[in-house]
Amino acid sequence: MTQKQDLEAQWNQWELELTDYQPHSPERRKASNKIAEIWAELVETSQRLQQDPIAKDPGQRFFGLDPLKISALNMALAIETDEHSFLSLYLKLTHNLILSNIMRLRILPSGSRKMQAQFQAAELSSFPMARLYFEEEERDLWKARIKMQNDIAELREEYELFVFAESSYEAARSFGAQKPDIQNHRVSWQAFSQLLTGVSLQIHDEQKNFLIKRSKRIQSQRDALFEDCAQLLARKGEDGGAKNVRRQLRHNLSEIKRLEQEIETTMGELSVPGLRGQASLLVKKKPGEATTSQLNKLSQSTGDKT
Amino acid sequence: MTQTTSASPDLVLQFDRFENLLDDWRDYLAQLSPHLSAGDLAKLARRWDAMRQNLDTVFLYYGRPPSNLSSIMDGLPPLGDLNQSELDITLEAMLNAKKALAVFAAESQQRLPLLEQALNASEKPDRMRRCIDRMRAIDETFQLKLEQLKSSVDLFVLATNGEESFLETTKAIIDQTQRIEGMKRANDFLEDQKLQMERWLGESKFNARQKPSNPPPSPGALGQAMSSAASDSDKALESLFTSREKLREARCYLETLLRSKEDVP
Repeated sequence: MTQKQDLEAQWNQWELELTDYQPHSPERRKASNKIAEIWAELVETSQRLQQDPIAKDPGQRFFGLDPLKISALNMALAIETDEHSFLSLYLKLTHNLILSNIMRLRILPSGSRKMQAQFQAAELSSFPMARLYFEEEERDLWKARIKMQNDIAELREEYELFVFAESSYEAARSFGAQKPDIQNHRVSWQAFSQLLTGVSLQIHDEQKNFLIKRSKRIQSQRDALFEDCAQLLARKGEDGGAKNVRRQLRHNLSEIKRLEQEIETTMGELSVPGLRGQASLLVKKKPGEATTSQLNKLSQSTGDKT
Repeated sequence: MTQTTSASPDLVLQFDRFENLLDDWRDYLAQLSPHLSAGDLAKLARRWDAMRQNLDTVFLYYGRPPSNLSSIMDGLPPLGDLNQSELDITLEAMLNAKKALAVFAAESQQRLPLLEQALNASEKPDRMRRCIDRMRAIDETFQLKLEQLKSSVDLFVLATNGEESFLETTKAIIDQTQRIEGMKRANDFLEDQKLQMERWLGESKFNARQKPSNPPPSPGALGQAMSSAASDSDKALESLFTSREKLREARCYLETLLRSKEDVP
C-alpha cells in the first residue's frame, strides 16, 4: 500500500513537471490531446491487425491440407496483406494530406480553412518553389526594415537636437528667472552656455553695427572738415578774410580734436583693437554703462521681465 | 527510480527523462501487480496510459516523434508551430483515417467466417469453391482500392524537391512563414514608431514656432556669425584707424599753421 502511495506521489510530481511543457491555450491543448489520442488508436488498430491469428505460422497451416484449403488460406492471406497495405498506404496518404494542407494554408493564407482532400499536380509541384518566394519576401522585409531603421535613426538625431535646443531654451528661461531651477544643474549649465553664446552674438552684432556706424559718421565728418579746411586755406591770401579764416580754422582744429577724442573713446569701448578670429565678449563693469538696447536684448533672451 | 525535481535546461534530455521514468514505472507496476488488488491495478494502469498520452501530446507539440506512435506514420511538424485551423485539419485527417481503416477492416474481416466455412467444408468442394470465390471477390475489390490509393500517394512526390523530404520542406516553410510574420509585426511596429516620431516632431516644431521668442542659437553660431561679418568690421575699423591718422596729421598741420600765423605780427 505504501509502495502504491509512493508511486502515486511520484506520478503526481511527474505530471506537475510535465504541465510546464503542455500547450497553454485550452483549445490547442484539446486539439493536441485529441491528435495524440487518435494516433494512439491508429497504433492500436495496426497492432490488432498484426495480431491476426491467420498471419501466424503459415507452414503449419498448409501442412497436410488439400489444395482447395490451401487456396482458401492463400486467399485469406492475400486479403490480410491487402489490409496491411491499405493501412500503411492510407496513413501515408493522411500524412501527405496533413502536410499539403498546412503548405496550402501557409502559401495562401486566404484559402479555405477546411481540409482539402484532393490536390492537383500543379498545386503540389508549386509547394517546393514557395520557399524561393518566401526567401524573396524575407529579403524585401529586411530591406524595408533597414530603411525604416535608418529613417528612425535620422529622426532620433533630429529629435535629440530639437529636444536639446528646446530644453536649453526652457532651461535658459528658468536660469534667467527670479528663482532658477537649481535641481537640474546639467540642463541649467547647458542653458547657461547657450545663453552666453546668445549674449555674445548679440554683443558682437551690437559692436559690429556700432563700429560701422561710428566709423562712417567719423569719416563723413572728417571729410567735411577737411573740405572746409581746404576752402579756408584757399581763401587765406584774401584781404580782410585772414582773421575770419583763422577763427574758422581754430574752430575746425577743435572739431578735429573732438573727433580724435571720439575715435579714442570708440577704440576704448572695443575690447581689442581687432576682431578677426576672436570672440570678444564685452563685459560692462557697471550695468549703467551698457546701452539701453543691450540691456533690453539681454532681458529678452533670459526671459527676465525686468 | 529516483525522482529529480530540477528541470534540465536541455529539452531533449528532459523529454528523455520523462520517458525513461514512465518506462521504469511500467516495469515497476508489473512487479507490483501481485501485491495489488485487481481494481487498484486497473486504476493504476489507466492512469499510466493517461500519462503516456499526455507525454505523447507534449512530444507531438514539440515535434519529437513519439516513440510508440512513430511506427505507423511519419512525424508531423511540431504541433506547437501550427495554427488552430491547421491543427483542426490535422485532427480531421486523422479522424478520416481512423474511419476509413475501420470500414476497411470490417470488410476485410468478412474473410474470417468464409475461411472458416471453407476449412470446415472439406467434403463439399463446391461450397469450398464458393467461399474461395467470395474471398477472391473481396480481394479484387481491395486491389482496385489499393491501386487508387497508391496513385494518390504517389502524386505527392511532386511536392518534394528531391533533396529533402516533404516533411522537411513543410517544416522549412513553417519556419519561413513564422519568421516573415514576426518581421512583418516588427516592421509594423517600426513604421508606427516612425510615424509617431514624425508627428511628434512636426507638432513640437509647430508649437515652438508659436512661442514669442526664438530659442538661443547653437554654440557654433557665434563663430559662424563672426567669420561671415569679419570683413565689414575690419573695414570699419580700418576706416577708423585711417581717420585717426589723417586727423592727427591735420591737427599737427593746423596747429603749426595757426601758431605760425599768430606769430606773424
